Amino acid sequence: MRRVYPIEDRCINCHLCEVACIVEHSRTKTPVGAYHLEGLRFNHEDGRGEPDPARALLAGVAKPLTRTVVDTAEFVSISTTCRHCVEPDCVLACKNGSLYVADDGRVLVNADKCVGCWMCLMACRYGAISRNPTKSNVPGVTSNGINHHCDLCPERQTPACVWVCPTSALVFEDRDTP
Amino acid sequence: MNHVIIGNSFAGLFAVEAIRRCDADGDVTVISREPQHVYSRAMIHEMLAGLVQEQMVYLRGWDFYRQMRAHSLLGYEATAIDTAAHTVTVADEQLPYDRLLIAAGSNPFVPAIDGLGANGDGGKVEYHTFTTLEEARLLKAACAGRENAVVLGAGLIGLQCAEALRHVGLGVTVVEMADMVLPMAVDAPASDIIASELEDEGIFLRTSNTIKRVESANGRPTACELRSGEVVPCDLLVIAVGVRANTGLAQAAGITVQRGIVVNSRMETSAADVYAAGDCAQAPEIISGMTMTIPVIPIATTQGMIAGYNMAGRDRVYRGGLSLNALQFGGVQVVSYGFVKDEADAEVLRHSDPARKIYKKVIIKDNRITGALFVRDIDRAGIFRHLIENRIDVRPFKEHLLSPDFGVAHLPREERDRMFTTPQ
Repeated sequence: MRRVYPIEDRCINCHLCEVACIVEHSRTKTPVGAYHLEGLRFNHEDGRGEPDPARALLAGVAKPLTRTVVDTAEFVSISTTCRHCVEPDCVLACKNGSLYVADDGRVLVNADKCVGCWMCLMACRYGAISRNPTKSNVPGVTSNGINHHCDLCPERQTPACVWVCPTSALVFEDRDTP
Repeated sequence: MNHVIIGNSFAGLFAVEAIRRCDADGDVTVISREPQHVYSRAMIHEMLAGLVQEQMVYLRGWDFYRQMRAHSLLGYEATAIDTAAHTVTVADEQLPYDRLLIAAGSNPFVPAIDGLGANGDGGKVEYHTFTTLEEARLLKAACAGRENAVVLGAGLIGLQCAEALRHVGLGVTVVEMADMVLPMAVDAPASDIIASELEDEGIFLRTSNTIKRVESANGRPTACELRSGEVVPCDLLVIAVGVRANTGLAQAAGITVQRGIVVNSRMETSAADVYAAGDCAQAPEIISGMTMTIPVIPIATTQGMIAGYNMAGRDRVYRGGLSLNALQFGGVQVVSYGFVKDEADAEVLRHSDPARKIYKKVIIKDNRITGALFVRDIDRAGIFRHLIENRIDVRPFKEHLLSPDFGVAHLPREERDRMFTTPQ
């Protein structure tokens, strides 16, 4: 199946993949709408204001709802996202069967069943799963949320992060061995 | 090929799915003494607390066995295995197998406690264990009209049960033999953070203590006298001191059993065509190289899957298990990997931010991580699983391990390429 693969030598650390991901999964599907009207820019864990999503992510405070994350070190930047593994560790760890491998090979979450136990987050060796605190299926438990990871943009031919990347540092390819 | 699986939880479930991926025609029979559809034992505390709808407890849809074309003997107990004749005894009938998987899980262990076995009139005193859906339903029904619960054991099951009982409005006291809560799962600083969360919820903790005697009337507990001399009022008693691998069936069949049913890296037991997986199996561990029982979901599912593939003829090797868990108490999430308390001859990195209840620790031996613990700041913890399981030399990026922006960019280039340029 086709998956998103990063080519890190082309990455210029612009974080546009994160913007495109947030916008694609928003209701208004426009940057201003997503970030301001829907308030995704100010979405953070404990209610503290950190207006800059990139800085907020570094500080561990805010959690913009992107499903792709640009990891940076001194001279390295690489856009990472769910690998849609053949035998996904998250599915093997999911404590109530919310995560599953769909018929087309995508690893998806049943958003009405996930209880936010974070076994998936613990299990994913790529660090590709995050927490969506805006939805919870366990009322009455604070800071719960549900699993949040790449769904390969089901409404698009090419995932938004790949489509937006100005240097083609993300590609959408079938690299399966036949 | 005729596959028989004893056990209907995570290991059995993933074995069925693996078998069906490579053997479309063979017979598959699932035997479980529990009558329920395949469900998650890790959800019963949330059901007890009334936090989730019951359908969220079930792991697969109602037509799962039909889709898998599997026979389900639910509510039937396998009572004997004849490894020579290749049969399992179920309800006094001999069920033949070509391949057998024992995925029988574990049973709660109940220690002898003075006053618990029999009271003056010869009857038993009511107490509860908390590992199955049926036990959770019994406990939930028993909660009506009760006021003060005592939970013996501050392990994962005990604390989850205590939190659920508190959530439905009971006064709860947890009694633990060790000097901290979760003594097997976390270290002292993480335990302190969790303890203060539980106390904030109104749960009383009595560590370094145990129940000396249970007082009762009419078969119901009325109070627990602790070793410290304190008398705690109690009309609902839960025993959650731990679980033991369910090995009786295997042992009686002459299969090699130590702490669990001993298996090799193909999940084969000492008997031909008999496999074991999950809580009841004693399989290779990846850091120590020894075999041990590790009763956590990802281990059970992985072992079940590997066993299923091998049973159906697709050769698969288990690379070794890593003890790992994700816990949540109050508003605090904890993720742990490996041996989080073994700091002997090790370099230990720590980061602590008490105001935000953040605590992180990495234990390094011979430049390889042998244990890692994350409290609240858990978002990129999974990368540590990769570092531990692949025995990666962390020297080149050691100083970044606990920095807030640690990510895959800090790993060696060849490691990133391995992780991100090919299908995983």
